[in-house]
Amino acid sequence: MTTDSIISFPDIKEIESQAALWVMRADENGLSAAQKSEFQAWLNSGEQHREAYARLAALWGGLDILEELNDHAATDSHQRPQKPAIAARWAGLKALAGTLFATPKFITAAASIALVGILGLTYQLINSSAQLHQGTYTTALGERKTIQLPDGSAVQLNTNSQIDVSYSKTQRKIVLKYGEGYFDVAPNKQKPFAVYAGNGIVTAVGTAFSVFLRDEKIDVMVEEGTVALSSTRASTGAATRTLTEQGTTPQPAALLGTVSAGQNVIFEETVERVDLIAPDTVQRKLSWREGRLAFAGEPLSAVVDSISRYTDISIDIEDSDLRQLPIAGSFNVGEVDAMFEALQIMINVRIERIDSKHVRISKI
Amino acid sequence: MSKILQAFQEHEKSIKRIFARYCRRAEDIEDYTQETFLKAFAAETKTDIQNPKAFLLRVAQNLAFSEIKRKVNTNTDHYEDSGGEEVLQDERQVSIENQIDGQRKLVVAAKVIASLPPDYRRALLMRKMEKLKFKQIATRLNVSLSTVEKRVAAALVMCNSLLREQGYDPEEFGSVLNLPEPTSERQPTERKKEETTESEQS
Repeated sequence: MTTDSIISFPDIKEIESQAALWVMRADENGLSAAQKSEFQAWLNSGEQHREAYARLAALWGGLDILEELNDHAATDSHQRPQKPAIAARWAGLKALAGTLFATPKFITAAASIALVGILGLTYQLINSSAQLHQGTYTTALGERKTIQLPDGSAVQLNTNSQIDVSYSKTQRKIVLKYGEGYFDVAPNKQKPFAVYAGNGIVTAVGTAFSVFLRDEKIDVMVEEGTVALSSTRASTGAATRTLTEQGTTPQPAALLGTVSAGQNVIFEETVERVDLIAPDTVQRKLSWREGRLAFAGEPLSAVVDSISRYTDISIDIEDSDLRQLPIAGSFNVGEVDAMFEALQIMINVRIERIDSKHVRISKI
Repeated sequence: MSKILQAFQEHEKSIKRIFARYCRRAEDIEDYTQETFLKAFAAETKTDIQNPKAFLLRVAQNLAFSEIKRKVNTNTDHYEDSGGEEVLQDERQVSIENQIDGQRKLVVAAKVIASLPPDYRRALLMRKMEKLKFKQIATRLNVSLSTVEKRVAAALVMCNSLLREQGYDPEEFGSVLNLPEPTSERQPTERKKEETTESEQS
């Protein structure tokens, strides 16, 4: 208990320094093949190594909270949010969402998107008028795609997803048939941007948000601005199909409410849950846009669920303790073998290929 | 140690006295005092502050003034906040607690960072607050990439030790929603905590 016991393990400090360096290398660019085997050898050379790495990697992820210091600097001392502890972050977030809109960054982004449009790299089916646009876009398992729309909006489609786009004179309508998309919407008050998913409609004027259609549930996360949610289910009986049929214009049913930046909502006929999430969590959950999957303490079972969306390989976890094991780290999506390899290194498990479509994760 | 943190530690009582004039609850006084530190430290990361004590007291005073204003307007504020339309609220208590935890966590993290040697502190803040890549930090500080890596790695190790010295579990910082520590055996009682984190598991 005294300092003597610390001195008697002189290598702890050294192990922590090495572990911290590995955390840095893994965070910045991912590891090269040579580094990976070096890293694995280092991890395997002692339980203390593994523990130090896990601890420091977790702390490293947690230090993302420092980004919120920006909010405190921005609000300064002129206006006070309602309550110090709870409201401060919200005021900061709202201010942030507000300024993001007005910044040159946003304008530059829109301009560069427009440039890409001029170059004609992207869209496939355009009606004679540039603002009337129709098309279907699909991603295969493990594929990602960015679609630039003629109004300057952009859609990033995650793995195994499909959207129908139809722009009319009055509305910008997207039908998310399955999967997940991130929508960066160019502001246009005259033409609302509506994403139809399952029995729900997510409507925005100009904002950035993601919609994930999981089974019947619609999972909406807002990064900037505000969106409105409505459901078609309440008014029509068995309306599951009508939404996805071209040409039909389902009446948006009762407004369920609005969602602001930093909120994550799961809804179908009614709102099932609302979560307030920190900016770094938003970024982590959207890391698929950069082709990465990032985790900070989610259980292995959730990590495997995420990975499964990118591959047709089915993954079993043998042991219930193992399912709960928290994972901190990030993977390149699509490189499924590399993801397994990274998992193996990170948490010291056995990963067996039963056959080409079946993988089993078990304790060593 | 940063000038602001040092001045804050020396004059924490004076800052508390400023808030004690306006608030009765000890918790509120404490919250405002910590927020004063956060604001002043956030400002310090952007500019050099010549007179840290005066700066802290001014931030505190401004905070206190706007608190009076708020109290006067409390009744109307409450209705105005909803903005006339329905705004979805998180009904679960847990999540509000998590937010408070988040704020306290930020205070603890900021104080730990403020105690680091300046070079380490600057590199770490560039990475975590400004979200710069190591390469960009190297260019800005005009040092090699490996120097940046080493500095930030050393800063991380120091944060770990400082948190422990202060009686915190560094792993608690590993997840936004306070998941139980990774290496321990799961106890059935921990199950409850996990349920609150389902939204993380998509």
